[in-house]
Amino acid sequence: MTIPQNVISRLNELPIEEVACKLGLEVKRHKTLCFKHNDHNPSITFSPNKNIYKCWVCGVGGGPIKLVQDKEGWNFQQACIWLGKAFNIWWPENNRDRNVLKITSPKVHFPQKTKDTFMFDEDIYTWLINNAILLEPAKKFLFLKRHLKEDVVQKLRIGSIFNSTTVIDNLVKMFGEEICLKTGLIRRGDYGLYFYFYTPCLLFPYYDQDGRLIGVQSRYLGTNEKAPRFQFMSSQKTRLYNLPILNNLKRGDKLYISEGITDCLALLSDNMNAVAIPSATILPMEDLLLLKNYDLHMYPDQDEAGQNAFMALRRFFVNQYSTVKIEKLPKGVKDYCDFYIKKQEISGREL
Amino acid sequence: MKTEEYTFDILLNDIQLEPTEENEMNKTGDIAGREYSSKLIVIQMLIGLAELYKTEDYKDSEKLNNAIEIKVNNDELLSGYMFFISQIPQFNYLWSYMRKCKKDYKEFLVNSIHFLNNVLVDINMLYKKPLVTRDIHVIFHEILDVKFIDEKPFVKTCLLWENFYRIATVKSEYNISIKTKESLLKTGCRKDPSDMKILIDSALKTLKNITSKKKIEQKNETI
Repeated sequence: MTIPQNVISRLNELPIEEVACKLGLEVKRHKTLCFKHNDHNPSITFSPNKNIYKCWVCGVGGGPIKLVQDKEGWNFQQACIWLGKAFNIWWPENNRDRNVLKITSPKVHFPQKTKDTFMFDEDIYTWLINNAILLEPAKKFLFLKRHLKEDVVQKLRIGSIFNSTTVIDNLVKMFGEEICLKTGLIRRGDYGLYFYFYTPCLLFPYYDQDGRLIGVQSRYLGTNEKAPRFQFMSSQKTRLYNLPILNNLKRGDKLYISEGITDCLALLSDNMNAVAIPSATILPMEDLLLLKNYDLHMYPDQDEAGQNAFMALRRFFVNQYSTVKIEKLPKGVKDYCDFYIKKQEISGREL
Repeated sequence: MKTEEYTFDILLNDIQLEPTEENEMNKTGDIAGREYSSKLIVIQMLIGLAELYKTEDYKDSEKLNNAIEIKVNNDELLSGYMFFISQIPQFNYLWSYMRKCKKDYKEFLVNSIHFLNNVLVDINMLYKKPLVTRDIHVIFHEILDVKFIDEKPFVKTCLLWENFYRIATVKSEYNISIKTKESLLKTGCRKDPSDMKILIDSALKTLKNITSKKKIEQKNETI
């Protein structure tokens, strides 16, 4: 079936953000999470003026038809048919009925949406965490640059990976290639096996309240500008960081919710009880429910995303008959980590 | 210059940050505290809805009615809840009574949305008026008490929690009282935005008279 040029032009003129919404993407302030990579901070930006989208991490981008192709993995024709159906734009199927407006459904077998089929294997990830020793550059980053307390880092079992080749070899030797590939921790590319997390990186294990490993997040420490700063692998899409702390708290105890791990580590190093949401746009509702009986506080980041995260959290907790109290950061600091570093530097100078 | 709009986000923020006796009682978990939490859920929901339907389109009552009708009727959890409630003996197992309640509920939502949207229009009109100062506060239907402050966002709103129940009966037309600390300057019914303008102009005139009277009295006293 050929699609007339004027129809193609019309499809490409459909508002890109509306197309994204129809595809199930959550667009907020012209941004959304990238569907091509494991994204936690919205990397896709929409330009309503140019009617295009672009992911600043993996580089995919284009107009409305390209968006449908990229998102669903369809060919050009399938994407056009889907768009036509979604926005009620029809065209004659062939020359014979050029003047007939065809309103029957296009006969196309839509490809099934591909699901992320990786499984989170607790044994493999536990092995990884146990073997991710905190090396000197990682220590420098955590203790000298970020001024974090050693006992906090140790308790949270934060590790680092610098040589991914060795890790891949050891993982394959220990568990076999097939199982490692199933976990998504190791993947096969054009040049052989590669490690999912960009290295060198820090690894932050996520544990549930019973101490079971439920996820791992990385923080890239290298210089490749295209590498995402944070990557995440989990048994569920989103979890709270540092859930085991709840075992040491009683009802009504003060607990801080931070936006991201970095602020959480700073709060913990500052002797405060803290858990972290993975990012400003990700709220792990089921885990958050566990917090409703504590005296909740938050230092929102001093940007729009931080304020929005606070509002969303407060809205969530109001509906649970609870509240989150706002704590204000001094002017000129962007988040709690920044504030904490400045505090440590000042006290260091005074000493 | 006051150019930024007073928004529903700021309004909700004001309502939640304003310390109230009831809010404080929340900590002890007594009835008033629990009521405060429930009231907060309701006002958050209403403000959220008002924000959703604040566009020009929904000023048309029929359009707003339809939108709310669709929203409420398509809320399957609510329908399930209605059945559940109707099975309580006090409701005499009557679905028909619950259906009537659902109809009234939609009306309540529509009226509340109109009310909140109109109040927001009024506040934005008021705070840009140069003569409206911190001496004045405006009370909307005895529910929302709006003060004018010097720093951003130039407006501070309190919810009069003890009158919260009035939200259930509010309509798009509502009462406005304009006060100073000591006296009531003006009170009246607001049917459209021009009424607010008339009321505030009249209140400002009264305030001016009071102030000049006071000045004369002070002068006389010193003489």
